[in-house]
Amino acid sequence: MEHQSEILMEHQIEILLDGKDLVLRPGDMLRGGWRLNAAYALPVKKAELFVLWFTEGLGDTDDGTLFHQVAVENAALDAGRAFPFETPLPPGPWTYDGKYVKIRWAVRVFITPQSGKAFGAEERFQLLPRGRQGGAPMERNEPPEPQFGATA
Amino acid sequence: MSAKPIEVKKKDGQQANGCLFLFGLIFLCAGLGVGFFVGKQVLAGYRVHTEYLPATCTIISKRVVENSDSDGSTYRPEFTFRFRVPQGIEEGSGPEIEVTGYDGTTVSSSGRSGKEEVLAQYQKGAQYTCWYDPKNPNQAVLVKPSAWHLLWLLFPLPFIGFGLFGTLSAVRHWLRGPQAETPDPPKTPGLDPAKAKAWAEKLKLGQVQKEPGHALAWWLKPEQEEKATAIGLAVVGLLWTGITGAIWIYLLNSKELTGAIFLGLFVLVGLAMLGGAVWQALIGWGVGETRVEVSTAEPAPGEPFEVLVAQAGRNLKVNRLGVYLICEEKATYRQGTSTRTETETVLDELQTERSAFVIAGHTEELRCKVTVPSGAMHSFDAEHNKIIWKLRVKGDIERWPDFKREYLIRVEPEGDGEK
Repeated sequence: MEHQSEILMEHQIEILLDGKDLVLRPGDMLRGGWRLNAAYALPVKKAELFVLWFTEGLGDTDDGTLFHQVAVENAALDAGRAFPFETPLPPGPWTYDGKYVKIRWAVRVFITPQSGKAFGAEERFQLLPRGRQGGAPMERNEPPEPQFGATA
Repeated sequence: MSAKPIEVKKKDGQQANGCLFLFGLIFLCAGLGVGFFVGKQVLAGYRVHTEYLPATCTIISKRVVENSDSDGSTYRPEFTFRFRVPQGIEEGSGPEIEVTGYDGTTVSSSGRSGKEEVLAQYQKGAQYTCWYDPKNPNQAVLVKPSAWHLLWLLFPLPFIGFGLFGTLSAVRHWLRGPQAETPDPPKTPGLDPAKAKAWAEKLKLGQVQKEPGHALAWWLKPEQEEKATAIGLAVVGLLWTGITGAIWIYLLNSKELTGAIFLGLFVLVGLAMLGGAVWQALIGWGVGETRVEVSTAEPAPGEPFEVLVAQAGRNLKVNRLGVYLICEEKATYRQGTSTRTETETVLDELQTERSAFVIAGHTEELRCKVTVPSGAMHSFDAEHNKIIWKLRVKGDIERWPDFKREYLIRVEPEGDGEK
């Protein structure tokens, strides 16, 4: 853990996302980029990016990958070099913040160095339909009037 | 701006898997060990029944053998008797043999008084029939072991079954290989806009069990059928009660009260299962079919859809029949070797209700328009986490078990022209 902290101190991953307050709508184009902030190039086995949803909360984790991009494989990852990406966002699953089930969206970057432990970073964003402000279970409307009717 | 660092680690399922394997192995070894011991005893008893020959013996001495350890004492009756192995036509002409034992087993159990009663049935110096092994006359018994002994063969089966399940599950999990926190990449790297819609179709929305309806577009199938539940409970309950009950009766007959009290708890579980089967059967066969039809099985939030509930019955006095719209969160997680599911009801809203009416061989219909609240979360059906939408029909029947039948619907993500 201490070793990993040292690596993270030495190499910081910067992820930038385009979007107001990081709230995006289904069908929007998610645009962004990432880079390694370091003093020197890092030889890596793989540096890759994922756009994914995953669950948090009480249940075991479920996840699904929307977009995957291998930026560098078995080569030197240049310090400061930007890796842009873009992908359209699907209709769901929406960001959700229930009692037991929580659904999150994130952009994650994982770097596996030639030597040493892999490390990564994530930037979260919300996928919400238009008119929805947050991930609360539901925005209630008035229940319909009960309608009675029976035929024999 | 630096992104939040995350730790790249193995999922904690590895440790739980190790525990599952260890527990499974312990149960398997215990089951096999007990099975070997019980099997040996039962096999010896079987040979006494099928191969041993009768002879006349004289009781020399008798006593109750006590085995004591930290858990207390157990007892078994023991006799020393003499008999002559019959040779030729005339019985008792062979050499005299002295044997110590009773029924050929060395199983001892609690309850000294029961064993003393056995001793009292035999008088010292008196003659009784004994049975000996013709291949080895030094092996002889005073009584043939009861056929109930065969039931002990069933005892280790649950241990062996659980042990096999645990170890094989763990091995299968290991064979699938370690799973890292890093998500699995899609087969094709990247996602072009044309593929976005195809990906969207893989949304975890779940499947609805439906068929074309008569009055409305779709006929929804209930989540659980009481008749199937009743049959399942009855089969398991009968097996369970049959096995545990037979051993329980044997223990009672043997006056082994401690064992009988302990096993009685297991018998009660079986009886509870049978009670549940009867209860479900009363609902399944006693209350008629509840047919639910909807104008759409995949409604969008804010858009009303029609629901028709047709309740059949032969002679039902219905106090109340209600239709509810339900939304639930379900989270499944592993804790040690067990899997648990927690449910949180997000919405439980009465849509329509009818009170005090009789169904006598016809079908009563309730119709209503149901609207999933605008802005509500869509259905979500991943492996461990679910957001479930359903219609629930609750019936309160006079002098009959009440029923609750549920029908899944699938709420689509609203708007954005992606539907």
